[in-house]
Amino acid sequence: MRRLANSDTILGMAVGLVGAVLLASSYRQNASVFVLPGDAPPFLVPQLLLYAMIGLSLLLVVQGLRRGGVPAGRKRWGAILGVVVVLAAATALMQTLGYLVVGPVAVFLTCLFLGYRNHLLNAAVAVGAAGLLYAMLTWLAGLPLPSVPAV
Amino acid sequence: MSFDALSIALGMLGDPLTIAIMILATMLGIVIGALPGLGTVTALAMVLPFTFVLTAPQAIGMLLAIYVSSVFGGSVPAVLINVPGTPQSAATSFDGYPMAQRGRANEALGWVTVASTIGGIFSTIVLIFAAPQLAAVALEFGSVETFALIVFSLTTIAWVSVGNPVKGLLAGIVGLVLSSVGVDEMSGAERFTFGNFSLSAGFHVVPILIGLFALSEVFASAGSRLQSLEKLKVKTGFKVAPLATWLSLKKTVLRGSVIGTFLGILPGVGATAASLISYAQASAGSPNKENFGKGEPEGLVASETANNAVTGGALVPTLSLGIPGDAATAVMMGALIIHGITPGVHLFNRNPDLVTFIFIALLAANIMMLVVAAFASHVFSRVLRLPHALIMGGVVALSLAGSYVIRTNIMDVWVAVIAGIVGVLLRFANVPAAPIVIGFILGPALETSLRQALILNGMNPVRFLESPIACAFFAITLAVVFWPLVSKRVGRRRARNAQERTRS
Repeated sequence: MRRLANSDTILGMAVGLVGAVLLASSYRQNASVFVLPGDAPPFLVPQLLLYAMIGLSLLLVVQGLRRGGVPAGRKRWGAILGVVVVLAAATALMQTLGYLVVGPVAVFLTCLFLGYRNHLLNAAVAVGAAGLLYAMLTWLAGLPLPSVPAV
Repeated sequence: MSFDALSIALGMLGDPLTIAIMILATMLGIVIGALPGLGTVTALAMVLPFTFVLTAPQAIGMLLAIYVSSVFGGSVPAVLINVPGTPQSAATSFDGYPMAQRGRANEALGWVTVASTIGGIFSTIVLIFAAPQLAAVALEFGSVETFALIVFSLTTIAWVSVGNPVKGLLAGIVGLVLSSVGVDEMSGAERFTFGNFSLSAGFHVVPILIGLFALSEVFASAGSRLQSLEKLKVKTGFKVAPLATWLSLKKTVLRGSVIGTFLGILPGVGATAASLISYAQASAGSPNKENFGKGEPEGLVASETANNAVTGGALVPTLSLGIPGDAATAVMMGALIIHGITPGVHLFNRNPDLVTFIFIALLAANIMMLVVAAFASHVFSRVLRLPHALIMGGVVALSLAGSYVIRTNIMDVWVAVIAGIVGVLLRFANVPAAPIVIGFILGPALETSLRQALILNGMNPVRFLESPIACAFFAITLAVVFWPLVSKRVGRRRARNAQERTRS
């Protein structure tokens, strides 16, 4: 079982599965596309690539079964998950609350999850970095970032 | 270039206001290039309205300074925080970031700046002496030749996948597949969008770069607390390697400059491909190939000479044929037309003074970039003196904003976050992220050229071999792919023969 479940076999199986789903979808979508005689169909290149992708992922599974995968090592998975959740929440709320609210909070919490405990400096960097970027992008470059609500 | 034209051009450049405008534009270009999501085209578009109130030489000087310095500017965050400011700087982060993480930020910025300047000046010299002739060569490149060139470019993947070619190739194909998502430009068919309107425009390279390089670094740092609390003992400032060291890399400098200039001339290939190809070629031919990806100066030189050499190269077809090589030169061409200068075959005869001024101003822009960047490096590199956790916090702010502004679409921020998660998992599984980027960047050019070539040749790929240029590229590709296998076998045979000889 350990031989079967390692980084290479899991990766190979995951990529292979995605490749198979996309390939099946490409044949389904291709059926509804009108292609002129002598024209290169729109799914020609993606299908060739997906076949290669499935082949290589099978090769990776075989390689993983033969040699084993990469040892996971000691990682702080909780902290990684924490940062992922912070960024996902920031993305989900960015348009509702605005970058000027979400940005500093995301920076502050990320530094916290990374183990930084000087809260005052952390807050200053969070507000400073997000504020400076907001000012540069919106005022200098004229590019719109989601503003604070009702502004 | 006549002596009269040269003296008039020098007189135009000697105007203190023109020089001041160019210096300001250089500073602005470096800052804009350093911000992910902006880049050269945005920088040029931003200053375009200002050119309306300037004279033609002032406007041209400003645009050239912005063009040159914004390409370079993207390399600064690539080196310091592993966030390529522009896609052109992706290859710079492969060795620049590890070098900075070893406390040699001053050296990394020195290599990057000087290499960029050399690449820029080389391509300008080529532009001065061979623009019309090279433009004629570029016209020989049809879809078959471009396809062969892109196939050759994909061999880059092999060189950045040292250790496990299967993983590298798989990552490269994932990048190619990702590039095919969205509405197909040739037929209008929706591909892999699953009814999601936001996916119709496909993925943009900037959020993918931000996710794979910057956010994956944030996640990986969270995974190792000790590292995230450390302050780097970093040498700040700007340090240029001794001349002898530069001379030992003359082959890489020349190769990078030639690759950048040539690919700049070809429309639709661009600086990103140029820097990746140059990096791969340097890695393949270097005696220090095992140090590539760990802070090898040769990797930095290869990438930077090539991406800045594209600036002069891209101006070759723009000035001599009136065909812009990329979006940035298209904006430049627009600005020239606004000022009553029509690029094309007659430009060199009708406006010799102005053409000479463009050449001189481009040289001056490269030198100004060197000077401004040398001073600015003292400020930039101090960022690394902050605790690593705070730098990562800044990266989060930059990533959220940079991925959003590229198309003002929240989907791009999601793409960056997901690419970050994928990137950190791939990092833990020892899968290189670079091939995904290479595949993604070269994907659209590969597909378009292949399909156009197939249509033109009656869907018969064997007819591609009728083109001598394509044949040459296919032959080089095969040689590059099979040479390591052949040399390994030859090496083994030699070792066996030597063993037998010593026994007898």
